[in-house]
Amino acid sequence: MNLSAAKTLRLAAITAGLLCFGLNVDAGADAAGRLARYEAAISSGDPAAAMDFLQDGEARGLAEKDMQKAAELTAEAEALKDLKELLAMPWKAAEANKLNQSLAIRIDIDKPLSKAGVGPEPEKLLAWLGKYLPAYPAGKKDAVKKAIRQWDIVFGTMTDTRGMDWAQATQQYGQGVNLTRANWEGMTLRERNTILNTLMDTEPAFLTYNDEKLASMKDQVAVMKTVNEVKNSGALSASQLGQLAGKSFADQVYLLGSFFDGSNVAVSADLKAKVNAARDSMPKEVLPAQQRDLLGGMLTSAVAKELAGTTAGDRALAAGPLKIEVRPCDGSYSRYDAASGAIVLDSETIQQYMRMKGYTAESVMKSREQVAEIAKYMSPSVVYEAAHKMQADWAAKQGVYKPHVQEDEIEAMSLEGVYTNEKMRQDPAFKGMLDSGRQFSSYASKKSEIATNYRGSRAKGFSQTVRKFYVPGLPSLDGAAAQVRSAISGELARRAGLPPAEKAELDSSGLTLNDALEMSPEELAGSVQEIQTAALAKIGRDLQDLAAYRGRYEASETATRGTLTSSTAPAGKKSAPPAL
Amino acid sequence: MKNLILASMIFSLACAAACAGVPAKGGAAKAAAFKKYTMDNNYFSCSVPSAWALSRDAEEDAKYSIYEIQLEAPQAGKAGGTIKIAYYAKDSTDFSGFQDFIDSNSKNSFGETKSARETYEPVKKTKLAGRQAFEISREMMQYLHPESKSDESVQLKEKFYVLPAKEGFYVLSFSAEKTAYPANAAVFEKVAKSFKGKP
Repeated sequence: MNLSAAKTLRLAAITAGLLCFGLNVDAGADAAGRLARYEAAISSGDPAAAMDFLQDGEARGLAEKDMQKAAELTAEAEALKDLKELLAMPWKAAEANKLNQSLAIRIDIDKPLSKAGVGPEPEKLLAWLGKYLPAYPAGKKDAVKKAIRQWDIVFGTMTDTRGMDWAQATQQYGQGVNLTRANWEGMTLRERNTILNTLMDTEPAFLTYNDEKLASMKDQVAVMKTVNEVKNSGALSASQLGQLAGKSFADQVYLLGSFFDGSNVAVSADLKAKVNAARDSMPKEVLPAQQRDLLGGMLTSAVAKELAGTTAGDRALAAGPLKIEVRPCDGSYSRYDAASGAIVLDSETIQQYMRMKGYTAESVMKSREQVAEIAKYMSPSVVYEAAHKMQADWAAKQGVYKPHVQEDEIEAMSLEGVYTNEKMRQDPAFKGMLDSGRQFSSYASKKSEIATNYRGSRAKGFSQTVRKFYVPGLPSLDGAAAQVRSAISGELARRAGLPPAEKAELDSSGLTLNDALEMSPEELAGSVQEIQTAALAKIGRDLQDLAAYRGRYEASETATRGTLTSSTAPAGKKSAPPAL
Repeated sequence: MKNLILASMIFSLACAAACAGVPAKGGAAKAAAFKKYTMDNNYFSCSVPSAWALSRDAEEDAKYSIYEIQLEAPQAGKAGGTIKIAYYAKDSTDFSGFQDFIDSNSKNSFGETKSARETYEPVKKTKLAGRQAFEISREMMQYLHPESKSDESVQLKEKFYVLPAKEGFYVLSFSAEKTAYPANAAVFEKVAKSFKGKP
């Protein structure tokens, strides 16, 4: 294309763009006309109209003459925008379970999407896709069908009825439950998932619909393989093999650990480490409650020293005094306890590290060096949770409702990713610890991988990875706000019609603002009828304008965004093309 | 402004659909129809497969000064994959330059090119669409639940072309599950060969 043609095309594009712009927002029509059109289009699920409405300040201002109506319309518009953005991500059939989690929190009874015609029956999403995103790729549609648990995908096309056990009512005794296609199609995603979770308890084929349960089964298979490797190695005596016979695999791996302890069982160090990492702790390796408390106190000061001197670590320390506790965290490596303000580190992960290093509870209590090692090993989790502490502290200081959203995880995992990269560059002992640990511990392997992923993708790319792969089941800030606002506006409208005595009773005995501030968006939306009117109105106002929330996330990201860049090249210097 | 950019982009696509790309040779690329895509400010243009879903977030692009499109294969599973074409403008702060990008994507965080979960091929100097480029190929396992104790992972195969420019740099990438990679590798190569960016 020559220069003149390019210029002409560009001009045409700009002109067409202006025309399209004019058509999109219907700038020629008056605000009342546009508002009426938005209302009609949004109530039928039109995502383009939803996005136009959200950008049309004049029409939004006009809508706010009726605050309740405005809140509902805005909630529906934001939910439609959020749904379109969610489905724009590159979903594959293999990620259908993650998409299922994302959809289950968005499409349900009383959710804004259902009011816009996308739900609560999940199949309405397919109709919506056909109407508003007709060019949606077939492969992604397959992922959506699997994600909404379409009957044909789950149970096949050959039957309209499925028998299943339900608690004590088993099919074996003719008492099972019959599930029909019509029942299924009337259920929400949440209800379908409950049924599938019940089915997978008795039929492993359904494990494919739950990543966590499937992974747990795979973990068990890996442990079985390790145990069999040791048993078949010829290193165990006949007596030891006899002790293993008939035991569960978890018991066998525990017994193997005790055989290795202080003996010379001739299996490779790798195999020993695998067994020690996989087995439960022995009594001497378990940290009792009192010792966990002591260790928490010792880690509080050790961790502060560990974090100091890195950009991300200093930022975590700026969150205020870090209080560390050591307790079981179920399926996680750490958590932030907002009630006590403590960062809780998982005692089992620490005990696994102790097993790998041959430390006992007694030796750790006596050794400042061993405590410092544990602080170093767990420091990425401390940084991750420090970000959650900052989020909670900000919300408390502002006195606003702050739901747990995807943006929180992007901030926390990014801070952790920056920290781990900085630390690996600056501290050979830290790097060596993750290096040796990653072979036997998924904790060390995952911390290393988050560092690799953040390093390769940085702020923009990493946020996409977190949203898509790591926390698809969490709502975005927009989605959570839309859900809560919609529930509140509906409830306030209902209350407006209540007899004064009933309303007064609700306002005196209902749940307080403090109770409501502790709730997830899901809980809050489901509890609006039990919350005092003033509390609902306050939370509705908090979520009316999200600029303060967004501003905090952006400020946090800006504080660390350039950290890796400045450590890989002089600040401000851009590389010139090399001579090839 | 966002609407203007979006509308402009839609128009560009509509125009481009009329002047479809050159038919490809072989495999999936041969069967696919292509159309031209032009990024805002003419940062780059290339042929994109018509059947693939194109997405872009202009607001995020402006925030990070990284202008990119994402193309999603029409079939999931064994024929899936994602192509990204990105221009990292000179004022983008995510990477200090193309060399930073290459260094950060050709080794893991330990500085290794091979581990139990990753394999990185040596970075190759090459030419793409008549300009100098660097090629990165890698395979890696990616955890799906990094903050929980589940070890479930997916095995990815990825290829990047990194193209230095006088101001900023370009990255063209293709990522797919390892088993799905071969099905659409030719489509990525066709997109890459049609690429035109600022010098």
